[in-house]
Parts: sequence; structure tokens; C-alpha cells
Amino acid sequence: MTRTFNLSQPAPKHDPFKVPEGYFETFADRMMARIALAAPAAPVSGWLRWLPLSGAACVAALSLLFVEVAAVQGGSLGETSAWTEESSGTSYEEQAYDYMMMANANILTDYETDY
Amino acid sequence: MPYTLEQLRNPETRYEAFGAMVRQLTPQLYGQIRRIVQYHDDADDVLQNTWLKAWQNLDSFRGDCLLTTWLYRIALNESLSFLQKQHPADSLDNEEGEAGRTLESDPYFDGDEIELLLQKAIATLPDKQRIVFNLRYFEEMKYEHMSRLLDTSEGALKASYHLAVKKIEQFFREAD
Repeated sequence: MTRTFNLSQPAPKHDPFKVPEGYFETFADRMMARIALAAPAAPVSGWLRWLPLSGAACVAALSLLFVEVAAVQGGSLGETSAWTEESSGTSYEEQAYDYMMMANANILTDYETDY
Repeated sequence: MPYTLEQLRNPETRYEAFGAMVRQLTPQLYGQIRRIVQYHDDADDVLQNTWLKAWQNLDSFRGDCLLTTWLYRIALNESLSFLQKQHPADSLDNEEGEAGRTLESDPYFDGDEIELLLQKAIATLPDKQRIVFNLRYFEEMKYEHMSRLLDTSEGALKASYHLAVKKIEQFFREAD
């Protein structure tokens, strides 16, 4: 038998590669099940990624502004306002810090799931 | 169910739209992968990895090319990566023998003697030459399109195809 193959001619239309019966019919369901198990929620893209950090920055800025205002007012309000200044200042700073930590934690989580 | 790029980008509709895309494009992607890796089990693995990568990187698709082109590029990269893991770069003789034995006994290969010999010849080509040959010969892809897809100059692709043809012709002469 002569084994010749003319590569200058178009490729034969016959496709010698076959698949198991029902392969294409079931593939999508199997694939999507794997995707659902393997991948967590898709990462937030673009500017939305920075939204939590922006919120934290706003809270921090407002906290500092409040501390400054309280400090200015504190000079004429005596001991009561001094307590208020210390208490509210610390409280807001801690809240802002906590919020920023949470925001950063979210971003780190995003990076872990980002490809 | 049809899908749109907007649906794929929206976290609320992404999963369903992606499923619709998998249903629609799997036969086409499978065919392209199978021609490169030749065996069904390998093609199935590479195809799954391709879809997984596409899902994980959906946000990085900027829309500066067709979605199908982007998927095709992932599929080719995954196929190439698979081939490189499968064998050392210099083991062409081993690869040829392995491909011939496996394809002859492969229940999912339904080619005649000539087709089998052609696949054996293709299996002897270096990985990138194998991809270029398949794209040009079987899919009749234009060099311009191939150049964008593989990020390689048209001149280099033409030279690669020319070399592949010469090697395959030589393989047939020696087998005769």
C-alpha cells in the first residue's frame, strides 16, 4: 500500500478524533460543578476594590477633624469636656483603626483569590 | 441560553452566563485542543484547565479582542504547557513511538492508516511547530490571525510551518 500524503492539498474533512458518547452533553454540567467548588466568589474588579479603603480613609479623616474640633472647644468647657475629648477621641480612633484593619483584611482576601 | 459580555462581568449573572458560554464553545475548543494533544483524556484535562483559567481570569479580559480569541489563546497556552510537562524537549523519538502506540489502540481515534501516520508525524514536531502546523493545515488559519493569537511575527510563523511540512514529508518518505 502506498502511503502518500499531499500537504499542498487541503486537509481531509474527515475528523479521526472521536469523543465518548454523551461527552459534550455532560461536560458543561461537570465543568460548572467544578468551578462552583473550586473558585470562591469572583474578585471585585477595578475601582470597587478600593472602596473599603476609601471608606476607612473618610472615617479616619472625620475622626481627626472631630478630635481637632473637640480639642479647640475643650479649652472653654472645663473638666467635663476634657473627659469627652479623651473618651471620644480614643473611641473614634480605635473605631477608625478597626475599620481600616477590616478593610485591609478584605483587600488581602481579594488578592488571595485574584489570579 | 445566550450570554453577553455584560452578563459575564456582572457578579449576579456571571455564573449562569459562563455556563452558557461553556455549553456553546466547548466542542470548538475541544477540537482545537485535541488536535494538539491527540488523546481524549489529555484533551479533557486541558479543556477543563482552560475553562478554569478563563473563569479565574474573567476580570482581566479587557475586551480588546474577541472573547473567543481570548479563550483560544488560553487553550493554546494550556495545550503548550501540557506538552512541555509531558516530555523533555529532546525526546522526540520516544514521543513518536508513544504517540503511535497509543493512537493505534485508542478507542477514540478513528483514522485510517494515512491519518494515523500523519498524526505520528505531527507528534514528532517540536511543540510550537505542532501548534502552527495544526492551525495552518487543519484550520486554515491566516498567518495574520495566527500572528495576533500567538504573538509571533508572520515571517517566523511561515518559516515554522515550512519546516513542519518538510519534516512531515520526510517522515512519510522514511515510513514508505
